[in-house]
Amino acid sequence: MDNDFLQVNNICFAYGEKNVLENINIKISKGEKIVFMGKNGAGKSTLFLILNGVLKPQKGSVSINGTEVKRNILPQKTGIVFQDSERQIIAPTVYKEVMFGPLNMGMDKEKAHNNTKKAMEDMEVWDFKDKPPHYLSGGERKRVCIADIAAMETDIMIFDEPTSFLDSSGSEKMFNILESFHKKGKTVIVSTHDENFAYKWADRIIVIKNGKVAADEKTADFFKNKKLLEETGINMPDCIKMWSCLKETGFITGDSMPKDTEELIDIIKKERK
Amino acid sequence: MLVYDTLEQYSVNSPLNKYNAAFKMAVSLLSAVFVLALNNIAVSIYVLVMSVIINIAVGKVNLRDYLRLNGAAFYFIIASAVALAVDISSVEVAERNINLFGFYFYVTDENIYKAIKITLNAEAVINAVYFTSLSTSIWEITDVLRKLKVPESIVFIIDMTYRFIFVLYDTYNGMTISSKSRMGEKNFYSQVRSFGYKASGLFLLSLSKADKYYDSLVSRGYKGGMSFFYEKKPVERNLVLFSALYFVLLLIVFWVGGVIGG
Repeated sequence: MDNDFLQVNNICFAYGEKNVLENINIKISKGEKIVFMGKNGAGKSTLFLILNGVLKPQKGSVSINGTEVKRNILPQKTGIVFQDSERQIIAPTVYKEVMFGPLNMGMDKEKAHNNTKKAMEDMEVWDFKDKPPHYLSGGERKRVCIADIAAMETDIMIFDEPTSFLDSSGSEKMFNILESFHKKGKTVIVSTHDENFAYKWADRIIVIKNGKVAADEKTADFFKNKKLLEETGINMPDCIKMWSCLKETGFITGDSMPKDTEELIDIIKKERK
Repeated sequence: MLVYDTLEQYSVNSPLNKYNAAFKMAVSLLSAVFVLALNNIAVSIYVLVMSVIINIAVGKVNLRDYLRLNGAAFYFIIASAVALAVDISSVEVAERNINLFGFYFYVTDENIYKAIKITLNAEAVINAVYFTSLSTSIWEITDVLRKLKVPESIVFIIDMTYRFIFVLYDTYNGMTISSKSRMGEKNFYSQVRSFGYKASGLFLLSLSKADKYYDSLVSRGYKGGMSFFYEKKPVERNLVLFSALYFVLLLIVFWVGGVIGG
């Protein structure tokens, strides 16, 4: 993989006198699935807003394909789905909401309409096109927010805590949506507090702690490393906890770690036949 | 909107917050009534200076914040004062004039005096009212209005408006960030369109939120009246004495002003 697709170069950001991000350096490959973890207020959302060009860092830059990208161009390259859909949705109808980004990008009306329709159909919100978005359910609103960004066709898609406010079936649906974007070749960046979700979905985990990169590891390496988990304050995923326990007690013997509970059940069934 | 944030913070954290809200409101309103009824420059200056001193020195309001709070009203007052001070005529009627587009824009001593007087009156009233608003939370103010038998529906609207203006402002900020993230603020045209969207979006959001808040109120026994907990703050003797002294001095200033002014 091209490891220099998206580069965060020495980013520093402060709100007034409070340092939020200090010398952040990250390299992300094209098509990679990245999860950012860390406590609330660690600086993840601020970093996302910098990657999207909404915030200007006091120091550092963002490069794509080795070229530094100006702030006003970044929204064309990186789309962001915000955590709270009420704060993201601005237009009075779902259709206008999703058309908003493509039109601002300067797409002609026909292409903007086609992109909008495709994105809305993919997210199963086309039927609500004339409805006010604020009257939709939480899950539907979330899908409208994703359609917002999908219609813009950005190469990099950022999701700020996409599974918050969603029930388990909503989270499962979100997992599939993120996977579908990955399959289309998008570089998908997600922040979450859900270690089970992160373990199952991500290629790589980056932990931000007190405005610094506290860990940047391949997913399996990160979650196997008890010391690193302890240092960063991240919990071990449930299926690994159970798998480790079963292994320690000799109930199972294999070395391949399960990706989720279903896989763990399969391992147990296979070994205990 | 920062003005509202500042007001909210000071009203809760002010050292003057510990005093009885009704009494503070009475002092503020009585000062305003004196300024308007006496219509005297000396009284306006006295109330203005005393209010600024009390708000900044005793109420510990940051000077920059205080000037910012006064700023918005100040521009309107100055604009009104200019409108009062400058007259227009098609013929030359005063010495101090400018001829523009065939019209004479002129000022007279009488008009300038009137403009200064009205400016000082307005500033004095605003700063006197700030004494209450910078030291008393809105809940205490609405509680006083209830005790004054202001209709419950009006008090309820004041309560709700004030309570949710912050929620809407926060949402508006979020919408603006969202709009920026999709290049919605890149030029004047897109800003106008985004503003239209945000305004209509906020309106719809308010309607949907209103339903949810109503459900929340009903679920906790709401039957048309808002009952919040209010801490009892008795009227302190020192405060009464200080206020009495303040109004006595105000009357002395009025009398002295009358004597000097003839």
